[in-house]
Amino acid sequence: MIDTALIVGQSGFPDPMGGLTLSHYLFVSAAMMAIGLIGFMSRRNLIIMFLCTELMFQGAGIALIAFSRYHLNYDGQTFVIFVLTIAAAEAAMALALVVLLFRRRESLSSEEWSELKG
Amino acid sequence: MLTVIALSIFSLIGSYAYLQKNYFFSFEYFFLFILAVFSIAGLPYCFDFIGVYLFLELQSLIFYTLASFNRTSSFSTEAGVKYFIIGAFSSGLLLFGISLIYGACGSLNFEVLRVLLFDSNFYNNYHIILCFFGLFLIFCSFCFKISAAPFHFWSPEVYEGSASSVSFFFAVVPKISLLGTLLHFCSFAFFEFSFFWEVLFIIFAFFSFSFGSFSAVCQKKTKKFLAFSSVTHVGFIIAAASTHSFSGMTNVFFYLFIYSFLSISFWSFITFLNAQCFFNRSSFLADFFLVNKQNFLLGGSLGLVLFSIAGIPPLSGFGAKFFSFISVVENGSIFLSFIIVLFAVISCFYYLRVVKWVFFDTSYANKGMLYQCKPFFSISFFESITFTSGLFFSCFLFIAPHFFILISHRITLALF
Repeated sequence: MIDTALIVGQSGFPDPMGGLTLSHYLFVSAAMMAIGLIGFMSRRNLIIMFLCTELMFQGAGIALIAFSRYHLNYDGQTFVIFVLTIAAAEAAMALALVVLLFRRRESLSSEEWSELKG
Repeated sequence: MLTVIALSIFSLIGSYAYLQKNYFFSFEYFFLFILAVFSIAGLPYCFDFIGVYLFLELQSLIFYTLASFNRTSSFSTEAGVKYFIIGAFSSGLLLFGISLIYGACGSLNFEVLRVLLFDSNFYNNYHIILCFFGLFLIFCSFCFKISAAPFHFWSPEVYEGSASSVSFFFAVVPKISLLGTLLHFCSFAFFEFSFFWEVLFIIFAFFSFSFGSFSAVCQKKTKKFLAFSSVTHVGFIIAAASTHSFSGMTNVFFYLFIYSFLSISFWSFITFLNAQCFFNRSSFLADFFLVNKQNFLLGGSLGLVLFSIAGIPPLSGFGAKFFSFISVVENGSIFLSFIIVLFAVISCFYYLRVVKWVFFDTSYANKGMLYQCKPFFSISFFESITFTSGLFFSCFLFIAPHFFILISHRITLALF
């Protein structure tokens, strides 16, 4: 498997990345990660916070795929498929929790989660 | 693996009466419980980052469900939501750390990473920086999961909000497996980077000592108090882990065993308290006033457990702290051992304060909830089993600890 990938990567086939190099992909993934982090820290709405964590997942996924192409093996791409599955499961979980919380609280702002403080 | 199963059986038995009294625990609870035990027990056997990530996510998804299990209580829902948001954030960090390490080394397998990193010709500065950053992110995410400070802030609120039997399970079972996994991949795959993760362990240990003990001093609610005290215990454990020596790792697991037994006895006490006496409100430490007068056996054994957690010499909590201290001193880090002793004294204070309330405090005599209602003439069979076995282990493990030292020796051998 790895040998064929090496051959394909080094022979005269058109480069699937075009003019893009690894650093472009890494830049995009780091930007997504940073946007996710900043959004998670600064936003107070539950759904937006959850979307920010999803953004972090996808940023890491882009980095994994780019590195996987760079190293010419398939570990990273396999991993990303698992990550996507888990992200879907987590989204289901998040929606269930959001519905529950909204029934109890009529608001999704995290500033009102103060019943457990103290 | 057997250890995890045994611990979870203990925690299930201990919360038996609580489960019986609670209408919201249906058969799904046991199904989720068994799945969680499966994921926790399988976690240390992973030799691949894919496996680690999948098991960790399985475990945490089940834990979010368990934390928000009491659907009618808004406390429980809030605890579940908080746990979920923090957990999703930490697994995002874990994922990014894994992707950086994959970028540096080109493999997700621990064996391959070990072989690659032993060959110092392989990596240049660029790889080292990527590995450092990846390790740092993975450490942060694991510290979220084992609730080491400064990432501990979810644990008191989640313990407080979720049902007692669930937080019993959270407190006792997963820590041994998560720390085992962390140590496994540190000492197996990243042994060459030990100079780096040693420093990380020391920093997190220092934060856990200080945050845990100073916040536990001013706690009034029992479950939050226990959460902060477990943060302090995690501090002691990762201080022993920072030595990256064989004896240090053995002492980590020995400490984890003793910590589990101590928390089994204390948490089973709290769950049957919750089940018998004040069902619909959270328990305060003030409820323990003069338990001794009410029921001498129970008060005496509670006092013994508290002495043992505090680390008074003939009891096992002292043994655990002593071994952790010894392994730090053997490693030669005098400053860290000095800090350990300092915070051991501070953590002694707040346990002894509870002992004082249990035995001597006459000024608040009528305020103690336990003093008013007479709950303890109806301790059920299962509860007495967990409480007494936890008490037995916590008191006498210092006299004959060979069996558990052997087990932790075997676990440590399996790490490398």
